[in-house]
Amino acid sequence: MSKRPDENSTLRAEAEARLAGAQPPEALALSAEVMLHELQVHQIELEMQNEELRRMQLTLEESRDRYVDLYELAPVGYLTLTDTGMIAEINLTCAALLGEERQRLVQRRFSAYVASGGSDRWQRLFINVLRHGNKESCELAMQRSDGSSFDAQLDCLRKEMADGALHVRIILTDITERKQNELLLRESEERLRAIVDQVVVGIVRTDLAGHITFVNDRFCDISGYTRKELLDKQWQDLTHPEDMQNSISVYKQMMQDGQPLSFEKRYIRKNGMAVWVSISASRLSDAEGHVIGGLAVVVDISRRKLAEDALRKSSEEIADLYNHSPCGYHSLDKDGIIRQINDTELAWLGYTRDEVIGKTTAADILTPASMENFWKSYPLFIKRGFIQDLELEMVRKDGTTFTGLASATAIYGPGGHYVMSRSTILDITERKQLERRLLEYRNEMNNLLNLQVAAQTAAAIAHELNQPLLAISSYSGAARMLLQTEKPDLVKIRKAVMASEQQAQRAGKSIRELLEFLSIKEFPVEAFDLNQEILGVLDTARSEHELKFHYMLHLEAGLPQVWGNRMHVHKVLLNLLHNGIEAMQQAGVPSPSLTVTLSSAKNKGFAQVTIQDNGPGIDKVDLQHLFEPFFTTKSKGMGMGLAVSRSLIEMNGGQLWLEPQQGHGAIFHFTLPFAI
Amino acid sequence: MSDANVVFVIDDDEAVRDALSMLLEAAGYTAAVFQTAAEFLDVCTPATLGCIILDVDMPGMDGPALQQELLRRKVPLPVIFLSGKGTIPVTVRTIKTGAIDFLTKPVDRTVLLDCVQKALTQGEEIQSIALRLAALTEREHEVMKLAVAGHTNKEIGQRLGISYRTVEIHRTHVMHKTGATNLLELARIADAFEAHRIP
Repeated sequence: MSKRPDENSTLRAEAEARLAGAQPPEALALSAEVMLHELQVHQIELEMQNEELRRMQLTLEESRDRYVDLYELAPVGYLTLTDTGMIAEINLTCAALLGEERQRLVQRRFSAYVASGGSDRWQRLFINVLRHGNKESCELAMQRSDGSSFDAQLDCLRKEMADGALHVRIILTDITERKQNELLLRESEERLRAIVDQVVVGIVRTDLAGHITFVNDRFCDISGYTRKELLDKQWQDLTHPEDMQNSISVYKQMMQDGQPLSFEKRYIRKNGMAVWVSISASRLSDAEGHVIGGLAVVVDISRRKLAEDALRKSSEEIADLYNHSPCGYHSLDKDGIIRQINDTELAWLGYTRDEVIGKTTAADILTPASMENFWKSYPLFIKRGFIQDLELEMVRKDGTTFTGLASATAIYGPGGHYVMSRSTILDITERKQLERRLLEYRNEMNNLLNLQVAAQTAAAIAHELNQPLLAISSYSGAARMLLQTEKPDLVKIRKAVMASEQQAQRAGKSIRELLEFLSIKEFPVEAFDLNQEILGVLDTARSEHELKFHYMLHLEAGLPQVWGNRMHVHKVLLNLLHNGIEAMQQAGVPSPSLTVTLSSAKNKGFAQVTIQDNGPGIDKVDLQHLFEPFFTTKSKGMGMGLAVSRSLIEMNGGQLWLEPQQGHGAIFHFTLPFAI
Repeated sequence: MSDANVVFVIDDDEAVRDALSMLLEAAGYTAAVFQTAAEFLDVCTPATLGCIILDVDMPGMDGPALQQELLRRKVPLPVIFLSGKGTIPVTVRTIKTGAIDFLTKPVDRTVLLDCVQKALTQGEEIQSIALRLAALTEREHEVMKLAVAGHTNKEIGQRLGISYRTVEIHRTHVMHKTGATNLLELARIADAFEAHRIP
């Protein structure tokens, strides 16, 4: 062991100090004394040296013991190779690793324990270390003499020995377990990667600043960027500007409290389009619990968003329609409490929605009378499941009422129990008012019509009576004047008086006819043969008129008897025949003819009579008034004939009408029910 | 029919015709009856004398229509209307057109006969004026019209392109033929005639 110069001088100084302490310096005056002093110092120096050596020996022994323990029992293998690759020293751990006794290993070639695949690599490394003195490490598969193998890490260092020989110290660590773990980890990572890449969700990992450190394939699809492009970005680069603020605050919060979060936001894809994503994010920490970033699972929800948008739009539309419909809508629960109501009905009722929902019942918005109607129709409603056009008087908040026309559908629960009703209400107040006004108007019209009829009646009566009255007045005037002459012409006077009497009779007849029309009493009905009746009436008509007319009869044989008042039918037939004959006479038709047809009407159960003349027909203007009372084109008569005829036929259950045609005579039809 | 006392009764009601004719004859008039307006139009001429009792409501041509037709044909017979149901518009129209009166059935005998007398007198007057005016030459007619309108002889001469003197001669003839003694009377005659010519 070489002693460093400074250590020697320190020793010398200490020895000098000791000697000085034992003997004062004045005593060192003589050279012998100096010599002695020198020897004494030297002796003490040697003693001190010995002492030091002993102490060092002790320390060294302790240190060696400690070293041997450490060396032998280290968890790693230590071995020293000579420059020829022979094992010079080896600790117990390493010997155990190599599966040999230490004694057998020393002076053996280390390369014999390197598995054949790694021999070249080992040789290169060994030479490299020897040549350059660099610390080198490598992993090598080692093979024991029993054939088994293990993975080892070798950390090699060149060591120059005191004799100048070069040794190589090796720390050999068994890494079989680590290798296996690494293998397992790699396998599991690969599996995870495969899974991560195949999953339908996008996965992204970021560091604390938001730099993207990992993405899976799906995330690339969602963002439209390649993996390489993404790894140069932060998540903020992908976020839609409108969602940025919210995203940042969410991210911050998550980073702070570590609670996983789910939220929805938009990314801007590489192509500039926005894409809606649902994000589930969580904080990532390392083994020591330091926060290192975030992990997010990203689902493309564009389609769902679109569907949601469409749904929202459509429900908005429905809500809009519901609320702004021209009719009222409401839903009542089984207790009659309003659960839903639209704006229209609220406006009608004058309430706000809050005042009504869950509070107001049907009884609150209906008059007591309408409520009674409501309850009356209730059982049928529950049974049938609907009700239509129930007229209800509805009460507004201010107590005024309006008329609603309600239709409702019952809603049944799973058990078939009635749970609620949905109603549509129409405000028919206006309609009601209109109906009322219409009725008033109609009444007014009827009054007017009645007045007009009365005026017409009066005028007709006046005309009908004034004619005979004028005649009577004139005849009597003439008679009176004739009587005042000297020789009264009695023949003339008699004639005047007789004519006067006739005119009075005529006036009376008119009045009777009128009364007959105005008050038609109950009448007896019977079954009779219409054929016979027609023949009889035709005879009467021919005897009463001067006009010789040709007539044709088409009477269906074997027709059942008809049911009615024989006198009425007689009168109608006569009237129609008279009309035809007089029309022909008045127009001076060259060869007057009448056709009477009796047949079974198209409408089964009725006999139909048709009477056609070949007169001038009915004027278009006259057609409209033909059946009005007091309408006439004849010089004689009151114009009651057709009006009376029609009402008589109608009283007997038949109908009377004119066939509209011009220029070929008038065609009248009437029907009577068969007796059977 | 030159009898100035003839009363033409036109009515579609036989009893009315018969009774009126008996009454009129008892009162000393001659009555001629017609069932329709057309029948009467067949026989009347502008020279027919007398008056008409006319029913308002008749089938075919009614009373007011016949009145118009007579004016068109320049038959200057006075008309008395008889109506079963008189209405104001018809009355006003017929009176305006020159009807003597509009009576409502049944009419009082004396009222009717008074009316008839008045009508016959007027009819006679109109007829005589018509006859007198008919005697005027065309030039005399022109001079009369202008004179009645208030033009001086000088103006009339200038208008017709004849001398003042010739106008004076025509005027003298007009006064003589019409029997008018002064211009005012001439104007009355001319007016009375025109009233029955212009509808």
